[in-house]
Amino acid sequence: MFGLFKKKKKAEAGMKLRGFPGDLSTVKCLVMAAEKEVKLETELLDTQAGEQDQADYRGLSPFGKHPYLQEGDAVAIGAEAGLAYLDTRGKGFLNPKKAQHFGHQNYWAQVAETISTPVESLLHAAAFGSTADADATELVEVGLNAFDAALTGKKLIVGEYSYADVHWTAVAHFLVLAGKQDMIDSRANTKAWYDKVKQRPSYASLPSLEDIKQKQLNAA
Amino acid sequence: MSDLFHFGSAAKPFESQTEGDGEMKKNQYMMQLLGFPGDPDTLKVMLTAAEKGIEAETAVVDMSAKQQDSEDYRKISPLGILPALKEANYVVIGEHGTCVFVEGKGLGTFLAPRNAAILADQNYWIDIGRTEVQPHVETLMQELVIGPMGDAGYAADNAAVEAARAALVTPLDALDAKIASEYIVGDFCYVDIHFTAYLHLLSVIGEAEMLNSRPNVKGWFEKIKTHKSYSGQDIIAYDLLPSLEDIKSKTLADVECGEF
Repeated sequence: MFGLFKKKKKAEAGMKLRGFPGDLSTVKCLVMAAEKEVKLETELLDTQAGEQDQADYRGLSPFGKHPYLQEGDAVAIGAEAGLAYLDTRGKGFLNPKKAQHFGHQNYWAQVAETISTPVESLLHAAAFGSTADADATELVEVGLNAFDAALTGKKLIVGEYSYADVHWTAVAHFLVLAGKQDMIDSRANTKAWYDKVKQRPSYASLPSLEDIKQKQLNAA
Repeated sequence: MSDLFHFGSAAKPFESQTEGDGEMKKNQYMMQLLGFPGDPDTLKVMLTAAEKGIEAETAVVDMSAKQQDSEDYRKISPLGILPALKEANYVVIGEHGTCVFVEGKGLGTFLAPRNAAILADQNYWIDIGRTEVQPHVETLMQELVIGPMGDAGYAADNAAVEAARAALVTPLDALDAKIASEYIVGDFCYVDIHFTAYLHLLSVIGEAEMLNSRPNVKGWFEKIKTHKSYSGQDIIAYDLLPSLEDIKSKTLADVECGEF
């Protein structure tokens, strides 16, 4: 999510995303693709079955990072790379022009990342019947409390829609699917923000709980 | 409660309050950085500032005394994330946000690659650094340096130390294989700043063999040590980084860029 860059016309090679519907990084890329009006073909990488650790995938992504985004010869692996690639290739740019907003955008993206493990733990408990980490709810509450305070007097996190909203949309969506919507609704600023991002067309493209249970990754 | 940003220029009255024509001066908006010399994220921000010709006064948040969890610091950074940076009334926290803020205020061309594929490559390696390298550097720093700083009787967890050393082999081998040109993804960019912070800390805590045994990493690191600031200022960002003695004495250099 660094910097500003020139767009470059590329032959319509088609962009393909290999990921998992119950993976936050994959869902962040789906939000970004929809926001940037980028068409994505998708292919399931079943991380529940450990496919990210199997030899054929490790041949592509030596550390097992996912999702795996490919367009012609270009490859972007993991959310950090995938989001920047989609932003650059799609319509407009999401990075704020103002340094102050850029700084806050990246801080809130970092905070979202710090709670990604407990959020996924709660979702997987709902989708696959696994046991959520004992401290998952508590850790998410801490992050949400800070997030809610930061949203005071704001409609979106840093003014315009930004990478930070992409990260938190994925987090909020997973919490709702995990049956934890009360964690959003009980925080007035977070609820107002969520109601706003939920109205965006990008939200409609996100996987349902049934999609996740069925390991169904829909094209964007 | 005390204000941790009340140090350096901020602790002095503005010139306009004591003398002069009442106009605000450039140096009255000096950036202030709160961090710790053994924290890689603090070093990334210092390096970015020096590369972009931005001066910053620094003060230490003492991780050996867990000051990042203190009420005073949590008032600034509710989740205890280091570092924190202030300019006038603006505060930004964490390396992700602070580096881009400093870059946005700085001199010279942008550090991030403009080509989408190279940008993705940079971000992938930044991600590898954050997840495959940084946690193990932090473990070594905690067990070998910070732990004993806070408690003279601290017994390092040798199993954790050996596990961290072992875990660094694969990512450093991958980095060695990756460096085929002058810098990690081609031209100097953010990912070089990230790995400079990690490898510098490894080198000062007695793990320099991890660098020296990998020829491409070693060659890259030697180049970094003499890399002139991106801003065109006559400084080398690497020179700001703390020695082991600085870390133990909790000393963090101010970022000074000389005359403009």
